[in-house]
Amino acid sequence: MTVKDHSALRAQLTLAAAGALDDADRMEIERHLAVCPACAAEFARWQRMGVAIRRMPKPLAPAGLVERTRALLVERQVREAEARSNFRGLALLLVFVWAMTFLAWPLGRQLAVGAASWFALDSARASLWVLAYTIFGSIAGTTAAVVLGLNRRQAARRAA
Amino acid sequence: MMGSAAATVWEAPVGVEDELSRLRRGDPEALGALVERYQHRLYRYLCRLVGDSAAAEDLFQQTWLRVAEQIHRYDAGRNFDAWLFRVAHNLAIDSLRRYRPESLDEPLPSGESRVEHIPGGAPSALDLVAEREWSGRIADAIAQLPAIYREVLALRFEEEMKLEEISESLGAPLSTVKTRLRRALETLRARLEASGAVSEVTP
Repeated sequence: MTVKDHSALRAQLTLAAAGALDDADRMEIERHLAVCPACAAEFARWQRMGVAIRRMPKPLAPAGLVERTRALLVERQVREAEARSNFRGLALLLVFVWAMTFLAWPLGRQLAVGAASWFALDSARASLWVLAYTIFGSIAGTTAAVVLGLNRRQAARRAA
Repeated sequence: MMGSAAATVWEAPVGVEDELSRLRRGDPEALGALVERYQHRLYRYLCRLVGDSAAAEDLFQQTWLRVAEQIHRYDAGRNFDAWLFRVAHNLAIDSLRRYRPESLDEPLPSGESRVEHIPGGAPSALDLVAEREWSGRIADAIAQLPAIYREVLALRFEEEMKLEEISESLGAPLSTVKTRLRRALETLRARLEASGAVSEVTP
């Protein structure tokens, strides 16, 4: 064993005692320790330090931490469920608004030229009905959007 | 004389695999079970890393909220311990950078840790008084090491993680982990020698 080998191996004793060497290095160290009492003693010191680190007083999670964490997780789940519900409501509202937009013209035309005669209305009064229908739809859509927006803001406040 | 080489395949402790598969199916109870299972290990690790019990509690909760958000990203074939500790590590490092950037590389300014005064778990019945006193001195010395050294010592010696797992948890190459571990031990020993406590290491 050359001096250089000895120094190189000695430098590895720290990691060897920490169980941080691969098989080849570990076996090389073991062979060296068997013939070098000085390194064996040094290795024993490092091992003892490792044992002492393992035996340090260990902090335990304080009582109630698990319960508080679980409560936070449940609260998060509720918020997520609300957000999903709001999203579904908003999506339905959008579909409704678009459907109404596309249907407004054919419905209006039908009322003006066909259904108006069922109620003995002239075309001018039929147009008023179309206008009333459109206004009602807009108000309903706007109200729903405002309600959803308020719900969302309330949920965000709770989250904060 | 020394332990065998670290295996690279992760074997989930009994029960963890079941809880993880339930969690991925959306079972809310599974996450609560995991919180309970990992409570002491995760809290202890965070205490060692940030050196403050209140901050560790906060980070503990943030870690589980992050786990709930990101569990869909967890690959079932990988080591859950390493993944969980990496989530905690990232949050803790962000917190240290934000509030105490000096603590990552330098000893705590107070020179006194709050962690070792937290009541510990049940000690081994075989521990001798001298051994406990020695461990107490080690705890004092470790508490004054930079956070990156405290962390690697905690993961290796307290959590008994393999180097590959530590590497995954820290998001650092294996060579970096080895270097950090060696320097941590050497720095620790140098400080113990300086305080005159190292003679007790001698068998």
